[in-house]
Amino acid sequence: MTGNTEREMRIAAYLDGAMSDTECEQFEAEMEADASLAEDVARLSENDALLREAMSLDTDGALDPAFLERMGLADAKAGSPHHPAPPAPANDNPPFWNRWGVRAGAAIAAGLALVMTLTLPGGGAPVMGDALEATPSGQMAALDNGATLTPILTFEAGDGRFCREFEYRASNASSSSGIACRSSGGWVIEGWSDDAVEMPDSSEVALASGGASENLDAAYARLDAGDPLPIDREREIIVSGWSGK
Amino acid sequence: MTETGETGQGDLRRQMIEVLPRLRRFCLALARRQDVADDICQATVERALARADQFVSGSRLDSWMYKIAQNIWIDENRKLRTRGHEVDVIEAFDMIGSDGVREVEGRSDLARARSALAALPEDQRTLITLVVLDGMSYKEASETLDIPIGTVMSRISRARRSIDRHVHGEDSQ
Repeated sequence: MTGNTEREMRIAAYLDGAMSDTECEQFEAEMEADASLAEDVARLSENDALLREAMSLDTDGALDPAFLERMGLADAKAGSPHHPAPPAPANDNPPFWNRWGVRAGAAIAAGLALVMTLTLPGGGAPVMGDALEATPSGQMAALDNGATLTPILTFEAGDGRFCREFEYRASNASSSSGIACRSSGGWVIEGWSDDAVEMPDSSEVALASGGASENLDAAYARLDAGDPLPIDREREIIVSGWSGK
Repeated sequence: MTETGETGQGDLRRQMIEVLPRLRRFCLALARRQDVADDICQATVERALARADQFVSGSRLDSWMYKIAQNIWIDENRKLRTRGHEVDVIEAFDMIGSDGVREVEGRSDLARARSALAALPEDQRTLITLVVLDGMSYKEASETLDIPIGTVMSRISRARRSIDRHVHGEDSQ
């Protein structure tokens, strides 16, 4: 391609649909007579296509509940008839999401998530510990006390325990976010964002000494939280019974 | 005519969600880093919501939000320059890809294309994003960026020349 500015601008106008019909016909006639011009147009058109592919819209990422929550648009998403897609688990967020101040809770709990009913050996709805044990992130479990629990993400704490952030919605519709870590075969609540929301019965999960009322940011810092685990890894861990193998 | 009532606000918020994927990409074109781009995107939505009464119903919401994003970016960029911060082109468009794995530059045509876009001056990056990626007309792009159409045309053609060199090498010229 030559450095001719006018030629480059005409090619650009042709590719961008900025020519009139007459100009377009004239330009195409020139291409038929000038192989070099046709070659340049074809190559630049391919470059455009390559660029579009390279910078294709990340619609899933932009409409992810966590991202919408961060943008302050989660409620609009919930009320929008145009976006019925189920939420993506927070663990699938790209790494830039790795800012613990950003959470997906409210959007997922807004009714977008699927309600998952766990099948227990004895039948009936699960208690909180069962839900933490078996529910993948992004799915809502209905508990036996009328509450729901939606795991948001799973991470490994600095002490090697697996922990989960979750959204807990009590039967009276009040909700709180929490963090629970798996310890000695059970779950221990390490953080709880809203003291006004009644915590689950202590027979279901243990409460960390002095930590249960700690806000989530403080709990994350104290736990020395690692990155959210990829959803595939989370699935492996759930299947392994939280042995991590 | 402006959006004022609660219903109008609700409609506007839903329209913003429609725009969000493109706004996010536009912010990435500005900032060249996903984490910074998302900060700009967040600030843009906040400012747009705060100034919703200034949005003219029936006009292009994407253009309005792009302008806000660009103003925020100009302010932020000024601060970054003051601090001596410089974005490394090699690090540019970091974290693209749903798997979150950074592609090694030069590994693929797509990586070269991203690198080519990242290497453009900011005014050309934004125009390529609006015209080539978003499909805006030159007139729409000129109105969005508040520049003459002639400037749009010359910048677009220069940008394409640079991208071509980056993707195919100097011998393509």
